[in-house]
Amino acid sequence: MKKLLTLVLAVLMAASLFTGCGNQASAPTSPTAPSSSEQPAGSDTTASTETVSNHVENLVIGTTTTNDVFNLYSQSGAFGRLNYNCVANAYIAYIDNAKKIQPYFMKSYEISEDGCELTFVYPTDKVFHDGTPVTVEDIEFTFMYYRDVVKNSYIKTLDTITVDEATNTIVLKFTRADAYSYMANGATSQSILPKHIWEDVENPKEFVDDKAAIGCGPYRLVSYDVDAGISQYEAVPENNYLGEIMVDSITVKCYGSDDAMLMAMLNGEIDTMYNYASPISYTLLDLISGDANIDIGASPYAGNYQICFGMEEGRFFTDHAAREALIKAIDWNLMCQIINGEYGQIPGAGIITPSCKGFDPSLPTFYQDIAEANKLLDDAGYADVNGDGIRENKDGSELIVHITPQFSAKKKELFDRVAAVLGDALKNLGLESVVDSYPSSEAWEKEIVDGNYDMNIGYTTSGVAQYRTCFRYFVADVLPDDVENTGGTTWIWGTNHDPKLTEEAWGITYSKNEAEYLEHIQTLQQMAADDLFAFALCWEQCFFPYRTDKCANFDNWSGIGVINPETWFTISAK
Amino acid sequence: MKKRLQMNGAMITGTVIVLFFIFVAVFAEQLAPYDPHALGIPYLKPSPEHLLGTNDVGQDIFSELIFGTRVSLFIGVFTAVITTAIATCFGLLAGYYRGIADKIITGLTNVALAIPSLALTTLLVAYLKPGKTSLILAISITAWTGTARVLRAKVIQLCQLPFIKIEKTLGVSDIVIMVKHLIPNLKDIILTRMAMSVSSAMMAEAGLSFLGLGEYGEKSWGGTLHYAFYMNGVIRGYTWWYLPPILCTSLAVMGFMLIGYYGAKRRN
Amino acid sequence: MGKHLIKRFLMALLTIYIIITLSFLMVRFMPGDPLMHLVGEEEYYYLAEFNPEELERLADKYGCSGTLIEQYQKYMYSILHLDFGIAYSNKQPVLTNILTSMKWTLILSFPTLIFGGIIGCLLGVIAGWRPGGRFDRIATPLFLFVNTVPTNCIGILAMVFFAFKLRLFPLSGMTSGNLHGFAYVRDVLWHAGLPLMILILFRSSGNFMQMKSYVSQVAGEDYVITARAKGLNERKVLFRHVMKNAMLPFVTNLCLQLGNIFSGSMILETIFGWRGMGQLFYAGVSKRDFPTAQACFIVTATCVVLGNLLGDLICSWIDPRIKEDLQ
Repeated sequence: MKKLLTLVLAVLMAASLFTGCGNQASAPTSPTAPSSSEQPAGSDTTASTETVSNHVENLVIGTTTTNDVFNLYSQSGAFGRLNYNCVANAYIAYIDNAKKIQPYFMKSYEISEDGCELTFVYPTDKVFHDGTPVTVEDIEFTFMYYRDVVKNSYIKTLDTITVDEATNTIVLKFTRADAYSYMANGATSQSILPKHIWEDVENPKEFVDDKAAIGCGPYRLVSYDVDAGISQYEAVPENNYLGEIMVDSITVKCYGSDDAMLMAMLNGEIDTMYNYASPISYTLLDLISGDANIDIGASPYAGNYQICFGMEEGRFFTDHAAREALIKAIDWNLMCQIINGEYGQIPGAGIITPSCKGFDPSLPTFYQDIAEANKLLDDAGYADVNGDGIRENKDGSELIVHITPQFSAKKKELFDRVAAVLGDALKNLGLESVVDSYPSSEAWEKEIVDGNYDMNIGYTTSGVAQYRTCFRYFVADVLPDDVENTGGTTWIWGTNHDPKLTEEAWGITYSKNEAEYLEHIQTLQQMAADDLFAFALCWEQCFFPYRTDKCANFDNWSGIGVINPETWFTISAK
Repeated sequence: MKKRLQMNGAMITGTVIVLFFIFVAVFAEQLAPYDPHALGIPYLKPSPEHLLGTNDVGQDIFSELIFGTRVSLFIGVFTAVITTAIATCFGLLAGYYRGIADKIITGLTNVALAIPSLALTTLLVAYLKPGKTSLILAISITAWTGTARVLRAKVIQLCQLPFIKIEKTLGVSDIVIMVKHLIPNLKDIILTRMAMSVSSAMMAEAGLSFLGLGEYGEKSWGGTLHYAFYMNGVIRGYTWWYLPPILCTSLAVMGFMLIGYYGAKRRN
Repeated sequence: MGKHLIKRFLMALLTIYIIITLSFLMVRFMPGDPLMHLVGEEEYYYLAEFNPEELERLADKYGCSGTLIEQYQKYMYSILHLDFGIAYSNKQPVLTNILTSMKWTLILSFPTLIFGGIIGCLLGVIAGWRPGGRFDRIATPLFLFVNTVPTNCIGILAMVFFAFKLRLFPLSGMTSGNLHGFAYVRDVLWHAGLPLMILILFRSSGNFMQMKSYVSQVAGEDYVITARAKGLNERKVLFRHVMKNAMLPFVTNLCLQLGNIFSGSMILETIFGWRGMGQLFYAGVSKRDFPTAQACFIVTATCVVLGNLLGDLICSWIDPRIKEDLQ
């Protein structure tokens, strides 16, 4: 009886699966018709092993981003995120590990003295993945497309494009000194688009055609299987932007969670992992710490958690003494431990993390001193008037501090825990607090924009931290002459109306050159240390683990990991 | 009261379990060794000082569980009272008056039955502010259908009885008939269904809090489990963190279910 | 008979209509601009800032312009044409996503329906036929206990024990990829193993409880007692009288379960990374992908209504005496 049941069970399950099986066979589509010059996928491995022995045949990369959007323009999905490292796409330029802007697709770039002119030398031997060569028309089209269709704010002031085909140069003229800002923000996130595919696309994000994945990057998307979350890429030897391509093919595998991904790494299913701005939590490190063939890939993280004080009139923390007292009341060891375990470093007063460009190491580090903190509040006149053990306002009215954690589906738990530690610090000061945890980002954003908070727990991702920095989150205004709101009316979450802060924070985005940029960064750190309008909660180490037994020469970029734009040209097989 | 004495072993077990949890909930302050919100050293293993260790921010897990009893029981019982009240009203109205009232209520039941309840709850909780009231409201919206159906059928049955028919023809007011004759006859069903409702509401609460839809800082069993899972306590094998809330939930749900299930059986 | 069926059918249609209307109102009365929910928050802000004309075009496309009545008409029109819009998450038509997810949910729910039904029914008959017997005394508390463990708890426990400690099953996911034919089927079965086991266990225990109570009810009826007293073969009584009568409500119940076949278990699918309807719905809700959430809502609810209707039809086909009162 039992046997029969098992048999029936197996047969039925198999039957119900064949529907799945049928679809599976058709699911892995080949988005690009291989051109005649390219070899069929199967013979690829043998060919490469014959020529050079130290090529990596196939690098398997794990991720937890869903692997189902394949659009060169879009940044969503594993494909879009991996393209931050120039895989199927070729950015005009990229930012290297030393935080320098390096040309990628272009052979070189030059910014004129007045900051209004940008001169590129373009390559002529690169190809799109459908076999057509990349022409200067495509390059021109890309700039125009980003300006006119995408309406990207960094290229908004582009005026004219001049091409000299004799010297292979292309000159962009801006109406303002935006060339540096374009290089730092636009060129490092915009890839050359094939004109013949994109010229009729009006809504780039919604472009879902198979051709949407065709770029001129070093790798061609060969196939994908949405159900399994796997996509396969192979090298296009002509597109050797940073030298010979050392990795012949790439497999990207998507996992449901970080722990599942780490288990896969333990089993040798994947060689390394990539997740933009989402490193592995320190709590998962003991899963892999026992394996000698896995490097936890630790490096200083550029982003950070931060507190921004609500500065609307009448709010408690508009008083400098209150801000200073709070910072002195926080249990910094516990704070760093819950955010980053034993790796967390108590931050300094400049907010910006040590791995960021222009970091100022001379600023003081925070420490806990509850007695001193209480004295600050006593001196400032916040006494417990009615004797209930809780301080009141200077005028004797009730004082409740509102803590608002930023809404985040992925990091909600940690935000809540940080709020608990802050609540504890306020308790040390004899202050009552309440945590306003909002159920959606819409609700949260509304309260933030309206300034209904005393402390906002926010987060700056490594991407924002490395150039625009967290300071843009603190300002309440745009520049007075910025009539078009180039900086964006969105994400103006701050309530700080200090004109100096406004000028400096937006100055970052509009810097004419690197020296000017660094100057702004320096001033802002000093201002933060003096004024304490905001502060970092922890300077973290981040972890992007990788296996060390198959490939050599991995370069673990700080805050980014071993998968970066240079990986494909530098690693080798062991 | 005499009926109570006829309770079988299962019902006694259920009652004991429920009384135990009620006791813990009422005397949580006295029973818990620590303030469940007080921070300390994170990730301590179980020891005489911390019977079940501490969580990721150093809060005592044992104290969390004790205070969690309050929230979990409160939501379970309160939801059950609301749903049973709604169901009783609907059941009486539909079964007693029939006609158009019956049609409307049956239609409403059909709609509520078809709505995916957990999904609707998730949606509602995400838009209302997360917290006890939203949880209760969201669970109640679809949870009354079963009881309403049972009661309606029973009321229809009762209305066929001669003495009620006689009272009706005598012109006794509807409310008197309902309160005096119908409700006492439905009492057993209502009570056992209510016990079942408590257990299903507690299970729903456990699921929702696990998905992170509970209130901030509120200590509930589902909440403790949520943090144990999402802060990777489960994968790191911290059994003392994730197992106790699971056991507590199951035990409490079982207590109510024993009362409800064996109570229903006794009725037959 | 025919009149009864037509009435039932119209009732089901009305229910579906109410559900569709409910889902329309839900999005319209959420806080914020409904368009924000429909095109996604980031996109909305971006367009509001740089491309307001595009936003207007979209408002028109999604039927968010004009009066509420006009919007409602447009909405009904597109739903009737099975146009649920474009998913915010991956820019695919929502219907495509739903069909894919349905397929995966079916892999879990179909075996659950069949095996949960068979196991629950068989064991329930045995326990209900001799209430208080040895089997009943063991099985009933056991299944009752299964009913008390919340799904998320048993999911976590099973994952820790079978997947993490014993490594018998994968931690999450649906297939390893790059497999074809039989190897692929085996691989999917292996991935489905844990959630499937849990689902079947839960369903069996639910069905067991129901079947047991139906059987013990019928067994207490006069004609059965008479038949048994007359010395009729036990097995004959069981199959000829008891089973025949107990099966009717049980089949109705199975039909209700059939209506749930596309709903998917939200919690289990989330825990095991199974990209079925439950997870699609949950992701849609939590990521504010409103076209997806709305469509999931309508599709699952409609399936339940149709399951109900089917149950009714089967019942009145088996036993024409049944009138709506039995509901």
